[in-house]
Amino acid sequence: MKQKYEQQMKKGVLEMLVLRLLSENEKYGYQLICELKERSDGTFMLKEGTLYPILYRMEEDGLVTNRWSEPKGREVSKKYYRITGEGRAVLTELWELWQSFAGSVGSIMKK
Amino acid sequence: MTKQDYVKQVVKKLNCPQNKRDDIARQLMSDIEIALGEGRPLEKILTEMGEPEALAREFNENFGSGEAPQGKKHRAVKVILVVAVVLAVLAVFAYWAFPKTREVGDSGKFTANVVEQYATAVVDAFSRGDYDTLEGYYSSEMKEAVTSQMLEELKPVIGDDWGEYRGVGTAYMAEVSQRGKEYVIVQMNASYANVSVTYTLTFNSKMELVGFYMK
Repeated sequence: MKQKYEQQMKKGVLEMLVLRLLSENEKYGYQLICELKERSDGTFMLKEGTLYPILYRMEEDGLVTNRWSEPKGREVSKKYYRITGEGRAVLTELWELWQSFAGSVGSIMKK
Repeated sequence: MTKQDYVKQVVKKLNCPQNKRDDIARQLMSDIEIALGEGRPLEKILTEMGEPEALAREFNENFGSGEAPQGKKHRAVKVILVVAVVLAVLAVFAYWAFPKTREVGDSGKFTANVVEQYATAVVDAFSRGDYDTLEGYYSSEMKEAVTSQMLEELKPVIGDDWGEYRGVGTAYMAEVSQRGKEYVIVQMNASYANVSVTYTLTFNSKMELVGFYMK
């Protein structure tokens, strides 16, 4: 029961977190899942079934683009996602929104 | 199971178009290969990814929520189709309603020399002031709308004394179809001692006079 609500709460910030990771470098899906887990100390254990729909939506909305890498030798071909200018703008907006939310939520919870 | 089996089982349960399914299959396979390249055992990798049905279910849930791109595209296509159909219907209606002209004889309803005979007869009757004969050519609507008095009053508009009726010139005609009905319009010059008059007559498919105009 608790996990469902926890997942629900976490889902709201995933787009912002993914965009944040992509703002540093272009990255592939598996890499995003690993980094999110490490940098959140295990709080965000994102699964492929959650991540890929997010990436598809963001691509549809023009926030990211993608390319499949040319595998060199024994390397695996990877689908790299790269943030766009639009994506960076949305990232900034979302971060500001999040901070303002945190304040509003705090006001309600603390009363 | 093998990695191919795993990916196949996931993709089978996905609710999205084939090209997206292929793309996801490729990404999943790529992810598995990368993990294997890091030295992790296949079984652990697949366990962590979860049961194929569960992965597919999660994907479908998340893909469906927030109006998936496919939903938007399908809606857009539907709107375009509806607009196209509406435009087509309007175009057909406009074509049917608005008058179209054709060469006389095209519709098979009118024959040029027959039409000319009728037109000449009408002009003759009018010119001689033989309104009884003239009325014989009228359609029922025309009978109700036009009286011989009205016609008499029209003559002075052109000239006080037309003079003797001399006859008609060439008849120019065209077929018109409007609202599924066929008409023929005839324009004919008639000369009199003092004036020349151009008559424009409209007949319906029963060769009844439905329009009378002169200048």
